[in-house]
This record gives sequence, C-alpha cells and structure tokens, in this order.
Amino acid sequence: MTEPLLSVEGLRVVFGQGAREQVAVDGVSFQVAAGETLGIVGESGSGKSLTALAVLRLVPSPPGRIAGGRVRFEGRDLAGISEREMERVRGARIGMIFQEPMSALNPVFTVGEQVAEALRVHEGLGRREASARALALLQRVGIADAPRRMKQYPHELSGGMRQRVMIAAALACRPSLLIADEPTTALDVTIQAQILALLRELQREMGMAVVLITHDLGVVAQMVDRVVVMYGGRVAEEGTVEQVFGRPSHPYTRLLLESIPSLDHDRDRLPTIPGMVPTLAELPPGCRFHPRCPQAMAVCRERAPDAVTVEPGHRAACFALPQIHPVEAQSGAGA
Amino acid sequence: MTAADAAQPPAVPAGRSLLRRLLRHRLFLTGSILFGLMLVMAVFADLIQVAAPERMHYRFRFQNPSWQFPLGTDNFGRDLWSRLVHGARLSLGIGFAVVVMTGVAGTAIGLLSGYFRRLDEPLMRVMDALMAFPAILLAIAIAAALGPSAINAVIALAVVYTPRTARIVRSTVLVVREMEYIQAALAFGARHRWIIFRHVLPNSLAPLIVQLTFIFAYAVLAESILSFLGVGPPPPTPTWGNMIAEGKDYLREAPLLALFPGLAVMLTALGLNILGDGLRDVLDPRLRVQHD
Amino acid sequence: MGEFILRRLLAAIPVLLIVTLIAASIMQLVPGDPAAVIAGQGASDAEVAQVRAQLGLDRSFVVRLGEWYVGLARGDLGHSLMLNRSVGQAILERVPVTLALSGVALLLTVLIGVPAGVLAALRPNSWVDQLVLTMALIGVSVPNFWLSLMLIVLFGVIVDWLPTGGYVPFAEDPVEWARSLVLPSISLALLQIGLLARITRATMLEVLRNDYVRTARAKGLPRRMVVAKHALKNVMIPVVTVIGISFGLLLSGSVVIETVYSIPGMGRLLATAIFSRDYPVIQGGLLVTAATLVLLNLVVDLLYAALDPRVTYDRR
Repeated sequence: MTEPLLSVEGLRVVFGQGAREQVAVDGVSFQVAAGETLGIVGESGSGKSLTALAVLRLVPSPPGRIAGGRVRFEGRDLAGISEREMERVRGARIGMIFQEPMSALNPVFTVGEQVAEALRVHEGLGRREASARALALLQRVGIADAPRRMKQYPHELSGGMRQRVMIAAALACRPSLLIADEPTTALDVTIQAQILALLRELQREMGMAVVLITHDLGVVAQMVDRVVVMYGGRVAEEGTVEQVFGRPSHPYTRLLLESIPSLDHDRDRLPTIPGMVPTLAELPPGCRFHPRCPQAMAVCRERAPDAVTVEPGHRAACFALPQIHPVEAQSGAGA
Repeated sequence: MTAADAAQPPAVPAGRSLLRRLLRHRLFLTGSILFGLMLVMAVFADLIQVAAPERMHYRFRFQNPSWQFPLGTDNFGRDLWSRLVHGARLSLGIGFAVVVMTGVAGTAIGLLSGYFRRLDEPLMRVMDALMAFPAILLAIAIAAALGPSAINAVIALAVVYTPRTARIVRSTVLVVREMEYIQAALAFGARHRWIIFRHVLPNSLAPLIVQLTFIFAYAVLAESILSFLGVGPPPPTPTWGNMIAEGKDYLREAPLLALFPGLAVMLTALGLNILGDGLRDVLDPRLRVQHD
Repeated sequence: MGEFILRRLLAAIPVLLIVTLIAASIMQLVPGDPAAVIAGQGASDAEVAQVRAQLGLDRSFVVRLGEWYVGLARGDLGHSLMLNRSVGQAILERVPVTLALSGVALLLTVLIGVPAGVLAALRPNSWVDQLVLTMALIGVSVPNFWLSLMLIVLFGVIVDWLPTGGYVPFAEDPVEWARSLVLPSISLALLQIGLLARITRATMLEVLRNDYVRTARAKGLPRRMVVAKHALKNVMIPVVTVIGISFGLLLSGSVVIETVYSIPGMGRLLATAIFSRDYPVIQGGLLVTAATLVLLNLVVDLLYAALDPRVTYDRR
C-alpha cells in the first residue's frame, strides 16, 4: 500500500504550564488516504477541532501548544518544518474551513479580496489575475451574480453564501486536503444539504481528500468513507462507516448511536448520553469515559485502554471488548 | 472545547473579603502607598515643615538643599520643602473637594436624567455641550471669571468634570430600570426611593468610585495648571502650580525650584491613577482594559 | 453620504447652541460689577463706564445674548478690548500656528503610538510592552507645562540644542520653523503617545483573538501580513476615534504649551485674554475651540464609517 496522504501519530496538545498543564489531545493517531473522506466525530470538548488545528499548527499559543507526535503530510513531517515552509502548506496544500462563516471572514475586506489573496500569496498572481480567478471560483461554488457579490462585504451575504466564499478561498490553490471543521453546523438544514453536496462535488472534481469534523452523525453517514470517534481527547473507535455504525464496539459509540432516534430527524440536536462531557480540568484518570460508561470495570478507573483490532481496519479502545485480550493485542502489535 | 475554556483562571474562592483582594492587588497597593505618602505630607504639613511656608529668609535665597533647608530655598529665601508639604495640603484639599462636588452633582443629575425621561434629553444635551469644550480651557475660563481663589478653582473643576460622573450614574439607572425584577417591582407599586437606594446607587458605586479616583488625579493636575496660569489661589499661596510658575523664571540658575513641585504633582497623580486602575480591576472587572 | 453628513451636522446644532450659550454666559460669572473688574483697579469712573458701554453691560443679559447671536449669524464675534481688532481677525491670525503645532504633535503621536501599541500587543510582557504601559501611566500623570519646562532645562539650557521659545513662520524660514516646533510638539505628544499606544495594544489583543485572524493564517498568509493587513485595518476602526480624541486633547493642551514656549497661537491668545480680562476674545475663542471639536467628532465619525463597511449611512 502506498503511503497515506496524511498520517497523524501520537498527537498531543496541551494547555498551560507545569502543574497546571492540561492535556486536550492525548495521543491521537489516524490516517487519511489521498482522495478519501475521513470523519472525526465527537461531542464538543472531545478535542476534535484542536486536532485539526494542530495539523495546521494553528493551536492558539499561548496558552496551548503541541507537545508531541508526528504529522506526516505528502511525505514530510509538518512538526519539523520551519514556520515559513508551514505557511506554504497552509492554504496551498491543505485548505481549511470553519464553523462560523460570519466570524471566520474578515468584516472589513470584500469577499473577492479574501478569495483572491490566497492566490496572490501562494501563486504570485497579480491583482487583476487573482481577481479573475477569484471570480471564477466564486461562480464555481455556486454564487449567483458573482461579479457583484465579489465587491460586497461578508455582512451583506447570507450564511450559506458566506460558507461558499470560505470554500472558494480554501480551495483557491487546489489543495490535496481540505479540513472542514463543522462546516454546516451554523446553517439551516436546506443550506446544509446544499453545502455538503457542493463539497462532495468539488472533492470529486479536484480529487482531494477531506477531513470532516462534526458532531452530526447524520452528516458522517452520508459523507464519509471512514470515521474516527473521539472522546476526552483520545480516539475511542475507528473504522469504516459500515463497521463503526453497523457494529459499534466502543460503549461510547453505541450510546451515541442509540441516542439518536432516527438519522433523518433532528440532526441538529446533539445526541444525549447520561452524564456530562468532562471539561479539561476534570478529565478522569484511566479511561476518560468510565464515569459515564454502563460497562465500566475496576481496571477502567486505573489505566487507559489501548486500541484493539476488532476486525481488519476497525479498532476500538476499550477493556470490555471480549474478543482480544490486551496482552494479545500488544504482542500482536509487536509481531 | 476551546482554548478559552482551558485558559480560564480558577474562580476566586468565595468568602475572601474585598479588602484582602484589594491588598493582594499589586497596582492597588502601589498606588495606595504613593498616594498615602502624599496624604501624610498633607495632613502633617505643620509638623514636618521646617519653617513657615511664607517666611522669607532674605540672606538665604537660592540655597542648595542642606540640613537647614531640606530641598533648598527659592528666590525669596523661602524653604522649598515647607512650601511643598503645604502645597500637598492645598492640592489634595482642592482635589478632594472637587471629588465630593462632582460625586454629589453627578449623582443627582444622573439620577434625574435616567429616571425622568422628560429631563433626560435637555440634561444630557447640556452635559454634551460642557464636554464639547476642552476640559482645561473651560476650567480656566470659569476660574478666571470667578476670580483667582481656591474655592473658585474647585467650582470650575467640578463644573468641568460633573458630566463624566453624571453619565455613569445615568447609564446604571438605564440598565437597572430595564431589569425584569425592577419592572415587576414597579408594576407592584414599588417606591422609586427603594429602587434608587437599593438598586441604582449600589450598582453605580463601583464605577463611580473608580471614576472619582481618576477625577481626583485630573483635578490635582488641572489645579496645578490653573495656578500656573495665575487663575488658581493667588501667590504667595504655596500651591504646586504657583511654585512651578515662580520657578519658571529661574530655570537656568535654580532648576530645582520647578523640578520638585512638578514631581510632587506627578507622584500624586501617578498614585491616584495606579490606585484607580487597581480599583477598577478589583471592583469593576467589566471595565478592565486588556491588561493581562 | 451627503445626507449622512447633513444629518450629523443638524444633530450637532443643539449642542452647538448650548455651547454658544455657555460661552456667552462666562462673563455673567464675574462677581460684582464686571465692568469695574475688567477696567481694573484704579480705573476712573469714566473708564469703567466706557468698558461697560463697550461690552454692552449697561443692557440686560438677554439683550446682549440676542446681539451675540445676531453677530454670530453674521460671523461677527465682537471686538477685542485690548488688541484693537475684531475677535474673528485675532483668531484667524493665530489658528494656523496652533494647527501647525498640534498637527506636528498629532503626527508624532500617531506615527509612534500606533506601531508601539501593535508591537506591545504582539509581544506581551516584552520591554516594548512595559514601556507602553509605563508611558500611558505617565501620560495621564504629568502636567504638560512642567514637562515643557523640564525639556527646556534639558535641551535648551544644559545641552543648548534647540530654541526654548518663540515661533518662526514657515514661510520665513522652514528650518527654523521646524526647530522652533521640536520641543513644543514633543511636550504635547509625549503624553499622548502612551495613551494611544495602550489603546492600540488593547484593541490589537482583542482583534487577534478573532476567528478571521485564524482564517487568514489558515490561508497561509505570513504572520506579518496577517497583522499588518487583516488585524490592523480592524484595529484602526476604533483607534481612529481615539486619534480624534487625542487631537482634541492636543488642541487644548496647546493653551498651556503655547504660553510656556511663547508661541503666538490660539492658546496663547486665550491665555493672554484671560489675564487681561478680554472677555470678547475669551468667549469667541471658547466658541471656536468647542465648535472645532464638535466638527472634529463629525470628521472622526465619517472616517469610522469609511473604514468600517458595516456602518451604513442610511440609518443612525
């Protein structure tokens, strides 16, 4: 098998210093193949957005910082390159779009300018060329009357249109990976569907990989190939959508799936599970999920479970998994 | 999960008294000490003077600092230190009188304006107009018209600074009267006096105290300007502004004459400003300038 | 746009009316017989009577107020008691000098204050940051006339590099003009720089926390460009308002500074008028200054609107 486009290994993101240090992302690993769509699912506080920011080295610092792990992208370790080289990756090789298209766009520049500037920086285009390309991009992402819209400011556009602008800006330089952090959460249901359809279309057209971060299991089911379920800063379960949704192995995933009455209804609502999502300061020792877990055992309070392979390509981190004992998993990993 | 969640400082443990929080605050403490020193000088001026401030020692004009004259003497042979400590008494006295007048007048106007909608528009227009003038210029003009004296300086400065306090009280009234439980209380026939004394004034207190601390600092600075320009308490009254004005003519021969009283003004205003910053941090965190 | 300006001008009229009323009332504050006070001690009865007639003090305040407004409507601010010319003429002669002084001071304030504030925000707790905070505190704690005297001692007396007073018109000798403005404009600006820097710093810190800054970084813009383009334009919107306030403070600070440095501007005119109880000049000067500040606020609002596309001219 060829090397994956993006490979994250043992990523750690921490906040604070010394005794007050808190681990927000704790040894997260996953891979994304070229052209593939990976979903990262979790409640807010699970560390999914920070993981995405860490890939681009955009964790707000201070107080946060990347404390360990490797991020291999297109054959390079992004953790090891200079800030200048990183700037040439951001926006050019990896595009990113955010949840709130209102606050994510600069209110005092026209949307045309905000799409064009990535082209000017990365491809050295002149003002006029960049502007022409931006116009074409805006038309491509489905903005009607693009020549007029280009000269408008974000507050003059609807939420759906703003997200289209964000997409145009993120894809301006045809990146090989797009990270979309809750791209439709702030939008109406009908607009959500349009934006998702647009993303799928553009993905096929440009052949790029997509990392879709969301708490919305419905979006995951219809959009992605593989899914990573995160809880408390760690990966709880990982596999294809069929594996994870059809045969959930981690108690957390099972509860998540049971808590939605139907995938087609009520997609906006966060699935509810007994107990509260822990904040960083109150993360429990051992398995992060044990206080809320119906199957919690003594060992769950003491140690964090390693991921075990449930079936090829399907892994989960839980002591309650009957098939494989942790010892075998370790020796299996060593062999 | 956001960075802000993680960066949230731990909540202040309940039950810690306001005083302890103030004393732990470095700005507040520094400002208090600076201002406290000036206050001690002002209060005990008669005890720490080495000569009467007006007494002229003709044989000892332009003396350098010595045991007999701690900061030296001026062109009339008056002891600079003794004049300086009496200047503290005048400056702080005038500043304090301005603070009291501004506080009372501002509160009254603010209450009237916030409470009676019909008065709001005219009162606030007058406040706007007063604020349209450069503060110091208007104070000079008023003080000059009234005639040079300490009381007139107080009146002039109080007129100039009252709009600022009036605005603060007014805005608290506007906020408080829109609160649901006040609306409900009004519907059930609560008396206005109850609302004013139980809700409006307590809510205005923190921002008002902070603002008055800054006004105290402005007043000390402005008084020195009035005196310097000759519209404050007339010479030979030892105000700091008068002393600087007198020292101005001897900058070449005796620069210390202008240096010391200016330093006194600066340290007093600095102490009050730091004190005000500290008070604002502790009493009224909403107003806090991003300070870290 | 034109309508917006018109509406703002109309909104300023009530304030300006009260401003004129306050300016006109200043003489009412003079205790006893203003004419006697103005004529000075030892003036003969005839001289007092002459002053009284000249100022119209023999008529009621309401009548004089009416005359003052009639004069204003014709652009006539009255006649100076001392200067042997009309108040308007006296003011017009002095305005360019004050504008030059406060303009140079404003330039210094903005050119130093804004970059210092940005630097301080980018490196919290660095020496620049500490300096900005210290300067801001000193700026609100030092009397500017005293600072001027100390600068005179330092640069005029001890090292003797610069003129310590007087003013040379630009047309006469540009070099001497610049030299004569160095100390006065520094005296004025020094206290404003810290304040402007502190506010710029606070605004920048807030702006940098916005999502769009992260977006700009995610697009791969270099950090310098993110700060200088995306953040700075947002910072300047509130800072322009502060610069307007700064300019107002510089204008009023010039009253004292011009007196200290013997610069023949508006400030000195007013200070002299106050000393010699030249009330028409005091009233006219106050009015012109306040009106200038009201207009300045209008200009600042327009600039604000020009910088921030979210502000529309159609609604208030």
